[in-house]
Amino acid sequence: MKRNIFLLSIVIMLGLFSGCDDYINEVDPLIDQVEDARLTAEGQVRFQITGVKQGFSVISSQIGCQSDLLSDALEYSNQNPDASFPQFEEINTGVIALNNNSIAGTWNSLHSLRFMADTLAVRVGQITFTNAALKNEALFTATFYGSIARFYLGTTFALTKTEPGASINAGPFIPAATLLDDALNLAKSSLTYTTDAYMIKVVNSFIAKIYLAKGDYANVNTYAAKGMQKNDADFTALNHDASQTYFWGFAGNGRKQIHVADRFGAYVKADPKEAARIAVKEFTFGGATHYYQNKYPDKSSAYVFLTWKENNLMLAEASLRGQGSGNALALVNEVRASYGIANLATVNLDVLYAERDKELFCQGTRLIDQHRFGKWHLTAESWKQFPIPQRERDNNSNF
Amino acid sequence: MKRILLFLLLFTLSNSFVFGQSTFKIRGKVTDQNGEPLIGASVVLKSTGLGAAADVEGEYSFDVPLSLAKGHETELTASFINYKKGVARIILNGSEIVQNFSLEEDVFQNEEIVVTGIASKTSKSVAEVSVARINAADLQTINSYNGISQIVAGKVSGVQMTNSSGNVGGGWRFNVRGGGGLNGTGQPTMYIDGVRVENTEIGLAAGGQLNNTLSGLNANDIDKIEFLKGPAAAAMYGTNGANGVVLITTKTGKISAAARKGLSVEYKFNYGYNEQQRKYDSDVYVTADTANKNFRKGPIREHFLNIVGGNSEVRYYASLENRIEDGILATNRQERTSTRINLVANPYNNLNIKLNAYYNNNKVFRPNNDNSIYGWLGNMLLRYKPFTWTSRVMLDQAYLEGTTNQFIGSISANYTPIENLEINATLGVDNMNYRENRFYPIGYNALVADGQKALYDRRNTNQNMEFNAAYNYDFSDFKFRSVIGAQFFNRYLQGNNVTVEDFNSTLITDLGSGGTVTTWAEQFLHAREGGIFTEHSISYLDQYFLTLGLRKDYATSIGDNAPSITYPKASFAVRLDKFDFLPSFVNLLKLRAAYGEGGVLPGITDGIPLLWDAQVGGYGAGAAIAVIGNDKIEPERVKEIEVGFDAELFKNVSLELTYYNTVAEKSIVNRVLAGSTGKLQVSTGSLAQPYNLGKVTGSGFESLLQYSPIRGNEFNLDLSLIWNYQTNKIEDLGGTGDIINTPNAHAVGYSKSRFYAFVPVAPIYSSTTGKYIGATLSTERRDLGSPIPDHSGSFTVNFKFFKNFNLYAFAEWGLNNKISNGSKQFASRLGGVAEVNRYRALLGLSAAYPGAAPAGVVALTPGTDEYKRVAEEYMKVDGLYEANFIEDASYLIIREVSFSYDFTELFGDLSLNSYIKSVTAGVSVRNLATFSEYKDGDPGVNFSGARQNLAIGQEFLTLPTPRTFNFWLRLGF
Repeated sequence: MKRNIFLLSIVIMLGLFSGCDDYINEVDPLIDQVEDARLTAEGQVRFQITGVKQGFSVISSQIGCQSDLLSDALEYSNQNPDASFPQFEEINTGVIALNNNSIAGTWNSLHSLRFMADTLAVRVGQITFTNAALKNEALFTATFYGSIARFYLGTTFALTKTEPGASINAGPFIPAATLLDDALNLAKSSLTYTTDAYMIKVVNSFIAKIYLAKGDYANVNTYAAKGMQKNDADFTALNHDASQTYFWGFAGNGRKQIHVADRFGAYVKADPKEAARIAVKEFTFGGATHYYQNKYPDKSSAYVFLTWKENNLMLAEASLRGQGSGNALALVNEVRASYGIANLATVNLDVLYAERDKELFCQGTRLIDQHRFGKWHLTAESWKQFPIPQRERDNNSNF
Repeated sequence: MKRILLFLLLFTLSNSFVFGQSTFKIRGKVTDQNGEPLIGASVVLKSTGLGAAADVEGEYSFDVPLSLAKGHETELTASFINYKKGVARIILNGSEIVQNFSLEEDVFQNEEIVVTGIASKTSKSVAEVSVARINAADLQTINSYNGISQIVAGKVSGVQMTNSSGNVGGGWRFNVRGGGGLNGTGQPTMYIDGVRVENTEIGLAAGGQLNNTLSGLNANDIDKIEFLKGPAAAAMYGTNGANGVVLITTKTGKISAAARKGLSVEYKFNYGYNEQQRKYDSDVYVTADTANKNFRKGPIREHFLNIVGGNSEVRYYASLENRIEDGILATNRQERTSTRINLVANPYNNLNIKLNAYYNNNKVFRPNNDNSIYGWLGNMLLRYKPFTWTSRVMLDQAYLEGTTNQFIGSISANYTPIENLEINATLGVDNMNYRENRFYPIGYNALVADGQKALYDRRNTNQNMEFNAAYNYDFSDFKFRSVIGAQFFNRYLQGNNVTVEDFNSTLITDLGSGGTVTTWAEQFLHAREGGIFTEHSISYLDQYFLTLGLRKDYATSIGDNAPSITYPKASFAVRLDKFDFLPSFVNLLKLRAAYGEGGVLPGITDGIPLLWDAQVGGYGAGAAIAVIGNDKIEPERVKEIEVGFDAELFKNVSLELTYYNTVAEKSIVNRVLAGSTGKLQVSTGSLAQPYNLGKVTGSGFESLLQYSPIRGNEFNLDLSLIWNYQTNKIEDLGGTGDIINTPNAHAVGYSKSRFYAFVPVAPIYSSTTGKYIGATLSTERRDLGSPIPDHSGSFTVNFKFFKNFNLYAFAEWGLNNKISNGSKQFASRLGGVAEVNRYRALLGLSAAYPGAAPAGVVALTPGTDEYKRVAEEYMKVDGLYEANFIEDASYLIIREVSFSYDFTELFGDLSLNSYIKSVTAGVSVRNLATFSEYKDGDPGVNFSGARQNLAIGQEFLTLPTPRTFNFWLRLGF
C-alpha cells in the first residue's frame, strides 16, 4: 500500500508540474498597454508623432505660466481666496525650495517630451518605410520638438542661482549655452525634413527666438527674416477638455490661483484697444481690484507658442541693436495696427521692451526678456530660473 | 489546468465512499471534570476520519467497519473547544467499545488545534512555529466590533494594525514583524474560509484615502483569525508567504444545549456613536474651535441575526446583518447588509464537506479629505479663516459613494478514502463588483465651479483552488506525515471610469447631463499563479518534532518567461516537560526553531522594460510612456529564522517568546528615476523603475505573557501582556543611492521608510533689507526617526465577577515612532498657525493670509540681536522645511473598555427562559483616551492610504480615528 501511495504521489506531482506551467501562461493579453518593440513599425509612427505633439501641448503652457510667475508678469498672493499652492508663492518670490513639487512636475513633463522626441528619431532609423513623407514627418517632429524641449531646458532651469542649465538623461550638468546650441542644431536639421512652407517659416522664427535667448542678434535678424510673415496663423499647442491648458487650470477661468501683474489692467484702462491682445478680467480680493488672464478662457484653449507678431518684434529688436536693415518702428506699428492700436511715434529698446510685455502677454517670454534687458525685479538672492529639482539631484549620480 | 481537474476527479471516483457493510459500535460520554456534558465535543478514531459529535447529553456513538478490526491498538481522541484533548488507547477487535472522556479545561488553549502551515494543523503544545490566534467569537461576547481591523488591533504579538484614517469604512494596514522585505505593500496574504480574498484599496482619487476591499466583511461572523507571521511558518505558501498569511475562519453550525430540535437563534442589537477623540488645539491652529465644532456624533445602528444548529450529519450557521455607521464628519457613512450561510455535511463517515457563502452589499460614503481645497480638514484648519476655498454648505453636498456587491464563497472537502490517507480540496471565489460615484455640485469651489461627476466601475474575481493529500503512518515510536499539495490562483480585473463636468442644472446630475467629458479610461488585468509543495514531518515519542518542506512556484509575468522559484523550509520542536528533570509545576515547556523562505513576485509587467499607452489631447490619441520595467528583475527572496519557547506554569501562567531574524535579498524597489531620463509614466505621474536593489535585515522578538490568578464559576480574572520589539536595517541598495519619497526614505544603514530630510541650520538674511528670507540647510539629510514603533505591545484585563458581570479593558502602546505633520506644515504657510503668524509679524515678513498678522506685534529691526534670535527660532518652525514637522508620536491608547452583564440567570429566575434562552447586554468604549506628544490627531494614520511601501507615517489633513461608544443587547432564543 505504501508503495502505491508513493507511486501515486509521483504521478500527481508530475501532473502538477506540467499543469502549473500551462496554467499560468493561459492569460488574456493587456489591452491598455503595448511593449516598446511593437511600436517599431511604420503603422505605429503616426501614433507616436501624435504622442510627441501631445507632450508639447502638456509642457508649453505649463512652462509658459510658471516662468511668467517667476517673472514680473504674473503674481501669486495668499490674500487671493483661490490661491492654495505655497509652491506657487515660492516661484513668485524666487525663494524656491529644491523640492518644490510644481517645478518637479514641470521638469519631469519637459523631459518626457524630450525623451519621446529623441526616441522617435531613433525608432525611425529602425523602420523600413514605404511612405517617405511619413518618415520625413516623423523626423521633423522628432527634431523640431526635441529642439523646443532643449530651448526650454536652456532658458528655464538652473543648477545654482548663477548657473542656468540642466541635465539630460541623468547625465552631467549642461550649461544653458550648450543646451541652446543643441536646440539650434536640432531646429536647423528639422528644416531638412519638411517642405511645408508654413512650418519652414515657423521653424525659422523659432531659430530666431533661440538666438534671441542667446543674445546673438545678427542671427536673430537672419532667421527672423525667413520667419513668419504678417497674417500667418499663430503656431499654437493644441489642447483638449481632457488635457486642459495650464493657464486655464491655475491662472484663469478654471482657477485663479495666479493673477496677472496690475500693470496689465492699467494698460487696458489706459487704452481699451489693448484689450484685444491683453485679455484680462477683473476680480477682487484683499480689498483691491486685480486681474486674471482671459487669453485662454477654456480648458481646450490653444496655447500660443509663436506668432508673426513676435517675429516682427524680433526683427525690430535686431534692427535697434544694429543688426539688419529692418524698420523697427514700422515693424512694431504693424503689430499694433493689427489690433487697431494707434501707431507709436518712436521706438527704442525701452519702448520695445514694454511692447514685448504687452504683445507677448501670457506667452512665457517675459522671464527671458527680463534677463536679456537686465531688469530683474526680485532680490539678488532669488532664483532667476527654476532650480533643478531635488529629486533629480538625489537620483542623478552626477550631482 | 483541465488535466489536473480530470486527474483529481478520476482519483476521487476510483475510491468508494463506503468501506464495507458489517460494523461494530464505539460509544461513550464526554464531560468536563465536573461531570457536565460537553455538547458537540468531537470524538475521532485515529487515521480513519471516523468519529462523531457528542449530543446534548454528551453522548457519542459511531459505527466502525469490521474490516478495521485487526486486533491492534489505536487512539480514540475527544476534543472540545477550550478543553485539553482526551486520548484513549483502545483495541479494535470487532466488539462494541464504550469509552468515556472527562476533559480538563485548557486555560490557555495550548491544546487547541491551530493552523501551523499550509497543510498542517496541530496544537500549540507541539507546534514547531510561533502560533497566533484570535478567538474572535469569544471577544464578541464581551465587546462589539465593526470589522477585522478592530478585532486584530493589539491582540497578537508581533502584529500591529493601524488605520490609515478615522474614516468609517476606511483602510487599515498590518505591520507584521517589521514587514519582511522591501517590496510590495508589506501586507500578508489573506484567506477567508479557504478563499484567497482581495486585500487592497480601491476607488477614485480624492485625497489619499481609498476604500478597503474587505470593509464589507461582517465582523460578527468571524470565529477566529490565525496568523502565520512570516516565511518560517508560511514558506509553503511560497511567494505569497513573505509577509505572512492571515487565515480567517467564520462560524460554523453546532449542536447547542439551548437548541430546540438542534436550532438556536441569536439576535444582537447594537447602538452606538462615533465622536471626535482629541480636539484640535486652539493654541496651535487659529481655526481649531471652528474645526472642532464641525465634528458630529455619528450614530451606529446594527442588527445581527444568526441561526445555528445541526445534527451529527449536517450543521449549519446562517446570519443576516444590517449595519449603518456614521463617521464624525457629515459626509462619512457606511451602510452594510450582509448574509452568510455556512454548512458542514458529513454524508459519509470518511467525507466531510464544507460550504461557505457570503454576500454583502456595502455602501461607503467617504469624507473628502487629505486634500487642502476639496476636503473638510483643509478648509477647516489650514487658513486663518475657515471654509475659504470650499464652503461648509458645499462640503456637505459633495459625495463620494462607493458601493460594493461582493460574494465570497468556498467549497471544501476532507476525504479519507483509505486508512491514514487524508485528502483536502478547496475551491474559492471572491467576486466583487464595485461602483463609485463622486459628485461635486455646481459652485462646489473654484476648481469645479460648474460641477463634476465621476463614475468608476470595477469588477474583480479571485479564484483559487487548493489541494493537498496527507499520508500518516507509524513506525515503532515514530510517527510520519507526508503531504503533497498544490495551489492555483486566477485573478481577473476589469475597470473603467469616466469624468464629466459643466452641468447646467442642479436638479439633473446624471452622467449625460455634464457638458464636457474630461477623463475616460479602462483597466484590465488577468494574472495567474501556481505552486506545488511537499512537506514531511516526523515525531518521536510525542517529544521531538521535525518537519521539512519544499515549494515550487510559478506566476504569470507577461512579456517574459514565467518566474519559477523554489522555497525550502525546516522546523523543529522538543517538549522538555516530557523529560523528568523539570519540576512538576512546569505543565508545558517546548522549545522550537523554524526556518523558511518566501518571496515576493515582481509586478506582472515589471519584467518588460518599456510599455506605452495612449493619452488623449488636442492632437488626438498619442503614445505616452505607461510603465518602466526592468528585464533583469527577479523575485525578492525573504529568509526567516525563528526560535522560541512556549511554556505553561502552575496551570495559570502561560509564556511564549519568539525571536526572529529575517534577511530579504534581491529586494524589489521602485527606484525613483532622475526626471531627466524622461521616463515619466504620464498617466500616473510616476517616475519609478523596479530594481533588485539589495538587502534588508530585520530582527526582533515578540512575547505574550498570560496570567489567570482567579479561575472559577463566580470570579475569573485573565491578564495578558504583549511586548514586541522590531528593528530592521537596509544593508545595501546596490550602490544606487537612497530611495527617497520625501520626507520618507529607504536609506542604507537605516530602517525602512525612515524620516530622512535636510534640516535648517542657519537663517539667511536679505543683503538688501536684512530680513529673514529662509535658512541654509544641512549639507546631508539627517535621520529624523522611524514612522514605525520599535517597542510596541498591549495589556489586557478581563475580569468576570459575581458570575454574570464582565469587565474587559485593553491598552496599546508604541514607542519611538515619529509622524510627519503635514497639516501643520501647510497651515503654517497659509496663516493657520498662530505661532508662525506671530513670528512673521515680529520678523516683518508679510502675513501669510490677510488678517493673520496678530494685532499689537511690533516688528523688530532687522540686524539686531533680538531679530536674529527670533529668526533662529522661526527657522525651526518655518513651513518651508519638512524636517521641522517630524514629531514624536509614541503613544499609549486605551483602546477598548467594555462592561457586560449576562441576564440569563435572572431571566431563568423569572421563569422567562422558556421564551428567551440567553440575554447579555454590554457597553463599551473604543479609543477612550490617547496619550501622545503628537496632538493633532491619531499617530497611526497615513494620508496616502494604507498600502504604501515608502510614504508612511505622513499625516496630511487626515481624519483622526474617532472615539466610539457601543451599547449592545444579545438575545438567544
